Amino acid sequence: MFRHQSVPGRVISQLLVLLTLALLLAPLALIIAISLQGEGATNYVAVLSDTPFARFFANSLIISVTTVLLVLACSISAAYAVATLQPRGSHVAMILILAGMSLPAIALVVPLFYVTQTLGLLNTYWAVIIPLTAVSIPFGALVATNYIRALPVELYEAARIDGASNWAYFTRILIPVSRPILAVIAIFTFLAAWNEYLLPLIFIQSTDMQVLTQVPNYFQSQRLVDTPKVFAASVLISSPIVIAYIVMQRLFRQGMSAGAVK
Amino acid sequence: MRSATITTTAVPSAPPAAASRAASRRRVPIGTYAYLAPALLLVVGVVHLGIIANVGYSTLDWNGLSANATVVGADNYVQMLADPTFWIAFRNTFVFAAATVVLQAALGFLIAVLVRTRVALRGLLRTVAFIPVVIAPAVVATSFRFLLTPDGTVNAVLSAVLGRPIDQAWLADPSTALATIIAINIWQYTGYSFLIYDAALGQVDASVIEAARIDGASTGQLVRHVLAPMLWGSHLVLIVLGVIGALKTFDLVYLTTAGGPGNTTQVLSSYIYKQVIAQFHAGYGAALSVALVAIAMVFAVLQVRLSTKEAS
Repeated sequence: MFRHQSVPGRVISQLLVLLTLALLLAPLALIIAISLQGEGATNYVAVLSDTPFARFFANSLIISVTTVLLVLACSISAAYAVATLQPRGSHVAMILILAGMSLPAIALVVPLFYVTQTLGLLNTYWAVIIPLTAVSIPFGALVATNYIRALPVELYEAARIDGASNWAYFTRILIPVSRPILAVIAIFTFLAAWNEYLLPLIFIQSTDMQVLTQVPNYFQSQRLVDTPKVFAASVLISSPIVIAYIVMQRLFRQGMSAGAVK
Repeated sequence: MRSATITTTAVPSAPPAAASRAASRRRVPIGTYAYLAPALLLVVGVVHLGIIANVGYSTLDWNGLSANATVVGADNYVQMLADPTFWIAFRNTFVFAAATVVLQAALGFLIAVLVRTRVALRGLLRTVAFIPVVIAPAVVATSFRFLLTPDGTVNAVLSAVLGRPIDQAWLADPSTALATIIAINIWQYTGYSFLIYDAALGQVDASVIEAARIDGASTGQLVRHVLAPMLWGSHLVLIVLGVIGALKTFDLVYLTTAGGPGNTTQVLSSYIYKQVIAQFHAGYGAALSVALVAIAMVFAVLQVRLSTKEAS
């Protein structure tokens, strides 16, 4: 697009690229460098052995995967009803669902805490999964509905004429056809769930049930703050998601720019 | 509407779509609603009932746990309007929103233009710009808190570069704390603005650029007078999402300053947390939550409007 720059223009562009790269990478490089201070790679071993890291990892995975599956199921089926089946009142239902869009979860902390406490759900996965799913559905339902509306109408009509039930069309045609948008919703929801900090902070107090984003605190709750180990923990927590991003860049970009609901 | 666009040529005997849809609706009405039910129940059950409950709780003097609560009517709202910390949090939330939206958009746009010039390492920049976006804000906040202490690594690097000792307590000094939090957010999320502009620039018609070039426009003029005005859709999306993001920002503030020193970096979310979880002022926290929801609603409506317009 800007292939025809003058020579000084190109020099300035190149310098700006180098400066931007330096600013973006410097904190990451510092974090990795500090994580190796003191006892070197032993810091990483210590994080893995001194904390229930595997347990935290499993907890994060259970919460994230369950949330993603619930959001996918709820979003695609609601979108199918709103975009294709259109029963009476589905438009109002969609407005109600979309009203939950972009709601900061902190604004629900008082009722959530009371209900969670009353139902005895504190320190359970559900205390995190249910609110996380509820606040993630509006976005998923919105992009899924937009996607289904853009499909050719003949797809549904032809299947129905061929004798397929609504359910058969949903499971055998719509879901396979919607794989691209499901991938987008999955990425977006997984990232939000994996990185979630507030809900586990409030609803999960027992060490057994904690999630990865709470690991850095683990080294600060003890008397001595062990900076290199905090950083080693940060690197270990971030690596899976950063590697996943680098491997699946296109999917991540699509998923995250759909967050802008383009 | 949709039925008007349906062609029946493929299956000549096909009944009109609306009729078949109406027929199937009559046959399995319950089944049809079952597709809507899970999403609707979860959102209404958690979000809508939660907001309604908040309105109720906001009229109470209550610790959030016990069965004992005193009805105080609108007292919590009166208290809120007279509470200087609420106004600090309110102001900080919007200072944070304005500063991050404007600076992230400007820098993101700059990077989007840079990766389209003939420079080396532009592929790497494209990849690297987005790495901070996928890292947990909780991890980013914790890491920067350690990097930014008076004897931390950032000051060490600055001292070496500037040739004089720097011992600024970036996050503990009220005069720099909020700006530092904003800077951390910009580091983390400029890649997001970049992504949006990069996608939009990819759709700009090459002939527009050529025409401007033929007219003798410099790169600077091209960017300022041709491209920036064309990208209003992206600017709007980033403004709306940026404000929503600011309203949601909790981890970054809580894990760097926890709203301090004093209450100088308190934002609405961290102040609600402090009132409800740390001080058991659930009734007052509910009133603060109602205020936050009211603000968020405005921007949620804008977000839905934008998305529906662009999708159609």
